[in-house]
Amino acid sequence: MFKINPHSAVVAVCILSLLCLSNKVNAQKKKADEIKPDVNPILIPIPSSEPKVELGYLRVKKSNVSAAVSVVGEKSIDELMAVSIDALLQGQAAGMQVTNVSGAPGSGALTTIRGASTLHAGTLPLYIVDGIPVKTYRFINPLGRNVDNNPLADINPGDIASITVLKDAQATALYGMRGANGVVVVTTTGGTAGKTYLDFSAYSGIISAPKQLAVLNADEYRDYIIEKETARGLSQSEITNGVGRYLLMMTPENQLQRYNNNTKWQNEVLGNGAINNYHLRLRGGDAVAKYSLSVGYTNQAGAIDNSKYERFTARFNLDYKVNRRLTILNTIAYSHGARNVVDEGNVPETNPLYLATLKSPVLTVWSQDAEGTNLSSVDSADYAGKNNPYAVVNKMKNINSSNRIMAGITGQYILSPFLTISSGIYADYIRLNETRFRPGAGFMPEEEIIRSASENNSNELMLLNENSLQYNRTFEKHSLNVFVGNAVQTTSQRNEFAMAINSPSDEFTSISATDPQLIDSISSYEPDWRLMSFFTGANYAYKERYLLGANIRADGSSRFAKGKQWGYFPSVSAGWRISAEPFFKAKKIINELKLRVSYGLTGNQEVGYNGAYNALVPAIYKNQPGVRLGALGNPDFTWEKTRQFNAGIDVLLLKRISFTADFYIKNTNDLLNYRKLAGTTGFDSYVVNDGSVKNTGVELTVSGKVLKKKLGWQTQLTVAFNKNKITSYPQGEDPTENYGYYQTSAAPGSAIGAFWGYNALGVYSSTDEVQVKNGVNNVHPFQGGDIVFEDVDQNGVIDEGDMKVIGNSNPDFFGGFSNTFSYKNFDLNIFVDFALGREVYNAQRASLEAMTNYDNQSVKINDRWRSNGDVSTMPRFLHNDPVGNTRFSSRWIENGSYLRAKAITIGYNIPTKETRKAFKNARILLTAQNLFSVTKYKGYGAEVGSITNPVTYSIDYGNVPQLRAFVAGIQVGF
Amino acid sequence: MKTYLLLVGLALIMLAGQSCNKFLDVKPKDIVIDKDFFKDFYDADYALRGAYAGLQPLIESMFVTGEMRADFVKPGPGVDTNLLELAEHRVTATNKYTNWKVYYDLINRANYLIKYIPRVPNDAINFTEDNARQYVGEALFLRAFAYFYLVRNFSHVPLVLTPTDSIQNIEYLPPSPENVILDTLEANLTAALTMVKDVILIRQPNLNLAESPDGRRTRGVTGNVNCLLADIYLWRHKYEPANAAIQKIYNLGKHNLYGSAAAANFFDIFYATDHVSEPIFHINFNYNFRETHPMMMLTSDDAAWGGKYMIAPADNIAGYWDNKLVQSGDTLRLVGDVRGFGAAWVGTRPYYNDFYSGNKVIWKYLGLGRILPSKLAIMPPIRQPYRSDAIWQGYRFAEVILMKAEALNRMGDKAGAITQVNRIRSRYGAIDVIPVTVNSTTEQIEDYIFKERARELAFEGKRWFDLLRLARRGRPEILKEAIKTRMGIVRYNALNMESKLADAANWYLPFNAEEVKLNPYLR
Repeated sequence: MFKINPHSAVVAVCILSLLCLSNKVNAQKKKADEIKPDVNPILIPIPSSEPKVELGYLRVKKSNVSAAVSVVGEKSIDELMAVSIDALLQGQAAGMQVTNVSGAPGSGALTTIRGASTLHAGTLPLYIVDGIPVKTYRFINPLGRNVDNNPLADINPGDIASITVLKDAQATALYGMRGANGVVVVTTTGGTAGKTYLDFSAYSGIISAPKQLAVLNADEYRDYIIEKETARGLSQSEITNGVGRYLLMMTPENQLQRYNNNTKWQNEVLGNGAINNYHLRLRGGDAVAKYSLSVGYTNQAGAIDNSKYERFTARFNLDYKVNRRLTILNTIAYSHGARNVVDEGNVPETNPLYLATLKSPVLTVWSQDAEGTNLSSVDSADYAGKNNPYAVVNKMKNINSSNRIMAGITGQYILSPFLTISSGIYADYIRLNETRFRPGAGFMPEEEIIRSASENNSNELMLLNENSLQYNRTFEKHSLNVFVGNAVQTTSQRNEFAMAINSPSDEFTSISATDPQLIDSISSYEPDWRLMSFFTGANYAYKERYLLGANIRADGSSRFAKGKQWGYFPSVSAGWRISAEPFFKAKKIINELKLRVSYGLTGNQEVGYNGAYNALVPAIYKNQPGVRLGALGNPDFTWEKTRQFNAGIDVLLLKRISFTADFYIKNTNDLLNYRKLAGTTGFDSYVVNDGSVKNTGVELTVSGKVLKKKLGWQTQLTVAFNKNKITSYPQGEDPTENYGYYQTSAAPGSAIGAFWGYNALGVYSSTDEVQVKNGVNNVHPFQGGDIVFEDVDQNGVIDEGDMKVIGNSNPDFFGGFSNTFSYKNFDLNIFVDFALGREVYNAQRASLEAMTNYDNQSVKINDRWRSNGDVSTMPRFLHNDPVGNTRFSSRWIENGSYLRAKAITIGYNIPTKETRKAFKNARILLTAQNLFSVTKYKGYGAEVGSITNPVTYSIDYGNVPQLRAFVAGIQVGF
Repeated sequence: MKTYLLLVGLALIMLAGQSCNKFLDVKPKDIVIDKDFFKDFYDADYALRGAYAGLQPLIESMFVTGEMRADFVKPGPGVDTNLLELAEHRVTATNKYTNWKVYYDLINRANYLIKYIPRVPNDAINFTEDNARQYVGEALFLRAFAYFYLVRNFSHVPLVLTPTDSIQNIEYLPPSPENVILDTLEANLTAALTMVKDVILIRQPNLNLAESPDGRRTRGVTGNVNCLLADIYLWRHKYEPANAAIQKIYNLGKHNLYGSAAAANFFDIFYATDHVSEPIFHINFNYNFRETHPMMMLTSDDAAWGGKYMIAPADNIAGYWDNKLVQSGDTLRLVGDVRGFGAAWVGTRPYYNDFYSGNKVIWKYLGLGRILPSKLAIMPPIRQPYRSDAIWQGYRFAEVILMKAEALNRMGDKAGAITQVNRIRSRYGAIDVIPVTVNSTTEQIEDYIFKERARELAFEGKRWFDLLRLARRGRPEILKEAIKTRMGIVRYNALNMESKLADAANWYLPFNAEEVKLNPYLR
């Protein structure tokens, strides 16, 4: 039986009426011979007199835009030499906060537009590249621990013509359930009619290793350990026969050479890297076909030895005009990436930078014979259970390889001078293969695993079909644009993992070389989801002065239970171009003055796949299949909803300086949360949508040509201020989330990403000063040399009641400031980006200043408190820390605000007189990236992110920082 | 032209609308949605096995709560606060072992079976009504098994008899008193006896049905149900029903005591089960399928085996079995009960054969064979490192015999009781002098029975519950004496154990703090 879906019925009616309307109007007008589409729903740029702003489904004249968007032009993109587009956007679009995950090659960034609006769901904006919604969420569980296999790195920034960031509801509501975190629309360079252009650019540079952290040398380390062992109450003979054997106290003759070294382990893992980037673009065409072919090759060697990223991309865009009415737009891009990665984050055994600072300096890289000559094998794991950092970097194999194809084909058919229909099919296929081999030599066994080989293969295919009908008409006083369309999208993902342990030796590195009995685990994960949508909207301008916009999208998503799959996302906007008013006299000075407001609803569907269902999962007994009810489903499980209000003003002064300011209030509710269950139910928790958060902020963009004559000065400043507040949390649930070593709190009143811990005020200089108990039972009382914790609830006891918000990952102010000075053929660009008001949990320092075990420590511990009366900021050493001086507190939370010279570029345009025969244009440039940073942060670098915790991401376990690089390049155009 | 386009467009939209509803129905591949399940007997099978899988996580709790507070084990050098609190009877509400989640997980799986098995369509060949009843009976057995542990540890707990299978029916109950729970268990198990089989039949390749000894040992058959029932009866001082239940096990004729002193093969019970007819109920593990338990970590003193040496045999353990080393010509010979050194406990790593070693190690979960005392460096028959997959002895025939002795004794049949215990003693060359006769008092004979239980079932998670059973019978001084012997008088007094143990409420664990927070009825 034919069952008519209500949404399609509505669309059918709309289309019918449009066609009828168009019919009627057409019948009255004469047919024009030349049929030129005024606005295209798809996205190859067509040169036209007035610049158009890319809004995803629409391209609208800048003066008619009533939404809040930021446009990043080609010039800003090209010379920044970022490897991936998310890192590229740092400081470029007001309100878009970009935090680089790490400085490892091929790494990307975490991006948030207008503040964090979720606790447990997806945080990334939607990226649309030439109409293709590309995969941005990383595959889960990377084999390289906490490594960023950034899918956006597959897009070569050199191919890009412009990027538009859609921020307010008017622009993002058209993306429905995927738009709550904002939308980034990327347009790649297309062909041109007439001439053919060949552009080639080559950059090459050196990346310098970061400044090392100061740690103890061998002598200082020995003294410190022996002093600490004595203070534990061990007798001299116990020490000599215990750890003293490794500290040259009664070390046997044949092991003396092993323990009498003084190694700077950071030197062993860090080194200078290099970056090379080549890009070739050929574009041209004629009135019938316009094409653009871009080919790029990048390779980057990182500061940690043996880490690198290599990428090859090729992109072909074609605009083919079949006849007067039909145009086919085609884009296809292929990208191949290969990474050698190193582990990051909280894996002290295999994170090289973290491990290198903690490894004992008395040991060295190589096994040595009795005379001290290096042998060919690496030194094994040591008395403190630490692996050999040299082996971690050089003997462990951690290789990824990815292949990706993004393609789209769109047909546009001009039905009448005002009516265009277009239909497109888009696909994005990515395949990621990861291999990891952890050898035995130099490594501590993990339980029974001496060596292990793992493989992880992931692939994802996205197919999308979008159809739309557009009606554009400009009358004398009115201009109207109406569109209606539908889309269906299906995404299927497959992940397979296998691990084999204990192959016969370190030479056998693949899974197939291992005895099948030793296959340790195999698993797979196959989330699939589908989306069906219908959307419609209209934009109306009266006398180019009064602007109105409205649109609505209906999205149905397969992630939710039947009957709860459809959501509706409307938005409205209005604008007033005061400068076009007849009463506006200052038009000579203020060329453009526009006020706009908008309000709308968007959704975030990245809440998982199976939350609505009671799930039966395998439960094996005696290696035979069994099942059990593994998770309780919530049939009311739904997407997170965001309502956003935006008010903005656009000003253009003296035809040179433009100024845009926006104020927004964003309320997100139905946050993905978990309701804890008592053990008597047999379950831990189930998902609920309960909780809300509010983001309020102001964005400002100022740009313009300050000086235009001989000495030119162009400037752009983007700055945003955001205040985030959690307004509600599920009743009766504990808002504290415990991650083991640190905790966050989502209590109403605090912000998302808030660290929750004790407040450390200083160090007791003597035991008389202590006035609080350490825990209700005071089992280990505080004494002189211990940390003074604030007694927040004033009850005389330091316990959970004294925990409070001690910092937040998200900055209060952030933005970028770029200045370009030009004189004759030279130019100098200084681009600074900044983020103020953010805190970072320096977990690496928490290990380096803990003084609780046999790890190497920072030199700062030499200032520690030693006896009553000492005044110091460093507490006493205490083996195993029974008192809890190392607990999660503000002692480890640092001010992560920074201001960084992201890129300083000097360029020289070779005068065309000399090169006219050979090139059309040529340019030489020198860039210093990340030259200096103004920050109080004590770790390697203040900017760190976390793939595994994108909500509270400023957790530094020795992430590679943003590295300084010196690059020279040439650009030539033929 | 225009109308033609119109009609075509309309048709396309209608078509899109028609398939719309199906399009968004994506069947997940990583899970099975519950409404798609229980369609046929295979599903019933899988669900049953999934419920049995719920037994495996119980081992740690069963062992620790069954031994730590008693006198056969002491905290080892690697002990953590949770175990130490148990050993010293000062358990706080945040102690790991007050968390009963693993028990209630098994109970929920059993409840789920009880509710949904009747919905599986019957089928004359594969899943008759009888089979369905059998599965429900087995679920009742599993549920009773979990609740009995909860009752012995907490005394009163929420009695959850319906599954949590949807967020609509989440129920938080107040704790039910002990006798209510035990009455329910007795009723359930008595009903289960009419539902389960005596043996498990497996279809052979030649399509005949044959008895599976492995099935009988690991699933709920009448023998196992009667064991559990007898245990509950004894706990409640109901001696005649206990004796009747055990007699039924005897009448089955499927079990007997394994081995002899001459063959010195006592230890076979703990790792080789095929030819051994003694075990009644087992929980199995296998490292090859990564089904392991933490017993190796808890009891081994060798870090290369993953051992943290958290639990060690008590100091004066050797005396329990009257083991002595006697010089016989060139060799050292072990005299006394073979169930002691070399089977229940051994010396220290790496050879484990030093009888006089200061560091002793529990052997039942580490070893693959008996250790003979020696001063030489002989490689021990030990499990491979990290392969912690020793069988958990739920019930074995020796315990059944001793349970009968206990029941007969309290029923007044002293001669019968002594005969039963002697069956055990004669097996393994225990001391020839029998310290009790028919003229001894009931208490004296009971002491003799319980000492024999301790010797036979050492380190099998029974000792604390034995002591508690005696205390509940009006003989708490035995419990106190035992703890005093293990702890030492000094520590015993320092912790005020005498007054603490005088209050029966202190024999049980407190409710977990997190649980109380979530379920207000537990306050």
